Amino acid sequence: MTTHDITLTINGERETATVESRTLLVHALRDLGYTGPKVGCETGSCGACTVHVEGEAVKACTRLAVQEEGREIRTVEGLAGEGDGGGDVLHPIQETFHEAHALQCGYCTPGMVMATADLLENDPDPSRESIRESLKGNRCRCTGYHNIVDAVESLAMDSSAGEGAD
Amino acid sequence: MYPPEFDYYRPGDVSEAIDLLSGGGRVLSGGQSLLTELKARQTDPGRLIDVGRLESLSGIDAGSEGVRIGATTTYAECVDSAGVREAIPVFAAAAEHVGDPQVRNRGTVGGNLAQADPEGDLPPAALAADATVHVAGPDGERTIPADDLFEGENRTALESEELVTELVLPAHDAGGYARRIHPASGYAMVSAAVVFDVESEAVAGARVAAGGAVERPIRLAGVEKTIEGTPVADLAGNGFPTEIGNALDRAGDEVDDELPYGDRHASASHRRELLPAYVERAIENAIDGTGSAEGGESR
Repeated sequence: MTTHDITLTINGERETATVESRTLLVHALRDLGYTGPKVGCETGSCGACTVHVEGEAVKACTRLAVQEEGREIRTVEGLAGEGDGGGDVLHPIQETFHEAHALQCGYCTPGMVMATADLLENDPDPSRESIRESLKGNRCRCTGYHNIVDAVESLAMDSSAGEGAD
Repeated sequence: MYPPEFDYYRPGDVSEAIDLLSGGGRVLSGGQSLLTELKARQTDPGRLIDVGRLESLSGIDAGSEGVRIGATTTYAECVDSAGVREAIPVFAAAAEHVGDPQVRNRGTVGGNLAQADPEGDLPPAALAADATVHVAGPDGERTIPADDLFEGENRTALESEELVTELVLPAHDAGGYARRIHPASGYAMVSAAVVFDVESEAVAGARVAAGGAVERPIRLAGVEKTIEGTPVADLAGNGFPTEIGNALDRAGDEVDDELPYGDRHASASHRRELLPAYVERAIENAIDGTGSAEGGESR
């Protein structure tokens, strides 16, 4: 068994860890205290582990931690801190999910929010169909998706919401 | 779920990767299939050779004659490439359907073809587009035409110590892809890819491939023969000429001679019944230039 000393930049903080070859990125992040990314299906289907790697949405359970050595990772913990009020103020995406009842148990929410952030960074004004297509990789077993799509759609119409999402 | 233990190597160039592969193990690129296989303990290679950071294997070089795509180029990069969409629309259309945005951000075209999933989107598109796969191995480099690449479920003409380096795809005038999404896996339960050039306003050099219903993508020679030479206008209206409709109806028969593929959700016979409708849609997509379409609900 080989181990690797790796450095990751997580939400702007430099972090080091010693990981096994087989350690998944999501487990490495959670062991470092970033428990926003959730371990859900573990088969690459549910998207609860979604984080951004070098600015792109990625499922952290289908990447090895050592594969991402030296890269910039953003987790949901980093999102709230990006608004004017620092970490105490929710990011517009989080605020809108809250307002629109886009979550019930909340387990899928960190991944859903990170996938939404990636979508709005690439396309600030997506159609409803495009929203559904873009969130295809994120499963929610509570809401039936309607309120999630509503939330993202209202963000799409609110041009200021894309700001702060990079 | 944790993968079994393995040693991880990140070679600095292709020749180092080949040397490492000669000692056993599997190639890791985007990992979007391999990691899931590892976690399910369907494979236990002992060594992973990560080629994901080899810059010489990445990138798109698109021209009017065709496109070269490095093996570690992601699906997202293909979908976003205006050159790919214009020169080889069938490939862009198929790449657009792979997995979901997160998977498309990391999964790679070389990995997809080497994986040869019967329900994969790229294999039939690569076959219809007459792709040539460039491979590096201990004995040097060689090329494999897509017609000779796919041998069966997860089986290709690649040797275990060989590495896909790039794909070369000639440009085509029209290309369309259509698939029925597998309601459980999100893969292609049935898929069809159609490519042709337009000469004197008629179909020329038609290549039609089917996936999902067979263990490996196959060409539908009967359909190809019938649409060859047909005026494009005859394919653009409502309803195809009778002989083409008949050839589409027989698309399932062409699958029977191969290795029919099915699973507990959708039998091989069900898939073969669906196939003609998707070949028809792929032809329509090639004609109207929309590139792709999908049937079924994703959730």
